Amino acid sequence: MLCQNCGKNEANIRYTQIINGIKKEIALCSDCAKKLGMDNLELPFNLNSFLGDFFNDYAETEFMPMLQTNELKCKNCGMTYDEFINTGVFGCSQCYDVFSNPIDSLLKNLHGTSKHIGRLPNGKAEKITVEADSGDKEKNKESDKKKMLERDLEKAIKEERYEDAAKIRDELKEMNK
Amino acid sequence: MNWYLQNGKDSDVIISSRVRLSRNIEGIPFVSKSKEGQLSAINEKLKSIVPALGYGLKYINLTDIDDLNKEVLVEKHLISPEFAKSKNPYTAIIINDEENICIQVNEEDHIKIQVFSSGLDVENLMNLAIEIDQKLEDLIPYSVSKKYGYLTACPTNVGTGLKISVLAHLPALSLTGNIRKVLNAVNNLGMSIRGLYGEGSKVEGDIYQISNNQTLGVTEKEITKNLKLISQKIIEQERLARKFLAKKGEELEDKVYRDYGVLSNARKLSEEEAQELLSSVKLGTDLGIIKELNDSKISKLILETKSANVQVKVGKKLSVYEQDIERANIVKQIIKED
Repeated sequence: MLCQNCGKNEANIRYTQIINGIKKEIALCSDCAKKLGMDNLELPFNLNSFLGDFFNDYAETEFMPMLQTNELKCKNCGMTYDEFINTGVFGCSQCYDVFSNPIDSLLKNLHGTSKHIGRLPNGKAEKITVEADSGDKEKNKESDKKKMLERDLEKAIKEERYEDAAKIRDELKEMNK
Repeated sequence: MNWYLQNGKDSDVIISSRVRLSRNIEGIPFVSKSKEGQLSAINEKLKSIVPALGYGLKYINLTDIDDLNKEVLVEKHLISPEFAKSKNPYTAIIINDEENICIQVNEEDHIKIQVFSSGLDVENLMNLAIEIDQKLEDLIPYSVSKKYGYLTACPTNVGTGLKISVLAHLPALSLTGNIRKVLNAVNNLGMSIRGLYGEGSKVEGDIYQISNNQTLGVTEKEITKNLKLISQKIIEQERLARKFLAKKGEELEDKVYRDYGVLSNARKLSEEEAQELLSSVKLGTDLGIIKELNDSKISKLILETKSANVQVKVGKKLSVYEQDIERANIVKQIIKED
């Protein structure tokens, strides 16, 4: 696990704080622990970002198995739920899907809703690639699209939009031909 | 002329408006998780499309701007203080000569489109921001989801990615002790309002920033409309309070002319004191009591008495003590100008 303060080094000190029976844990690397005066483990402190802290407190009041949430990790950028709580920002666009379960209610709390109704781009733009992976650009594009469709399909079924689901399924079939 | 020195609509109360759109590029992690190669690719890509955008925009890497001039950009509200301090070498701004468009590259999000105007002008700004956004979206694939809209690093911006804010000068509401009521009312309407300078109960210069909280599940049009309506309500209340103050004519005239006296004669002015005095002098000028100044001189005074602006004008880094002396000189010069 990475240090929750700097997010760079491997954490090797775990600090546990229990106040009125509420347990909070934080993992730090030895550099940060020293910097924060935490190597003697005496001072009460709060390292979490304000927003992250809000998310965490909010999540804990929900009927949510915290263990499972803590184990969530975004495969694309390596962001963990703990890290998100610590920084209050996501690492990449896929985090929104990975953490969709815990954040849906948080977004409702922040914005009153979790569904976008504003503008969207019309999608004419070409994909930007970093030199390293430009070789199999076309392939990536297609598999990306497939992944997106599969995700959409799952969502459509979950939300009982069967008409949409059928359309997406047909499109996927077409691609697999 | 640069937008912040111009007179805008309702600029007796609303100093300036800003519209900001946060965007990220598809397939690349957000800035905090991007690798060097990805950040530099974003930097290169945006650099290459600047000519296609028009508006006389120029691409400037932040590493090519010295610390003092970065601070000046912060004082003009063109970039965020965090962005100015960023250690990331691939940060940049895309800016025009009028400085009414300033796009931040590789801040918290890959792209932050920002447009500015003096006074209250949120609709025109919104249209301009969308126009720029549409040009960009033809050239750059944005990271979006059907459900969550435009995806941003911070979930407080997700959806429209839109934050509109206005800076309001509310001295009469403070002087009459009504500012609390206004702050509460605005907060209850789902907008946030906070003092721009100073912490806690003391708001230096009586300048407040009002902005939308909600970015998801609301359309661009609704956000624009809400912010405009709330701004108009605040303008109405501030003007009422000013009328009330004007009834006790001598009291108010005495206050603003005393403050003008100190401002124009002091040999040494701290940044905070200058802000306080300018707030009062702006009120006096807006009400037609002080005839020696005009709107654009006041805007100039407000900007050019800020710390980094003072130092850039003199052309070197100054101690706080030296700044206070130079600040008083600059004030005298601006007052004397035709």
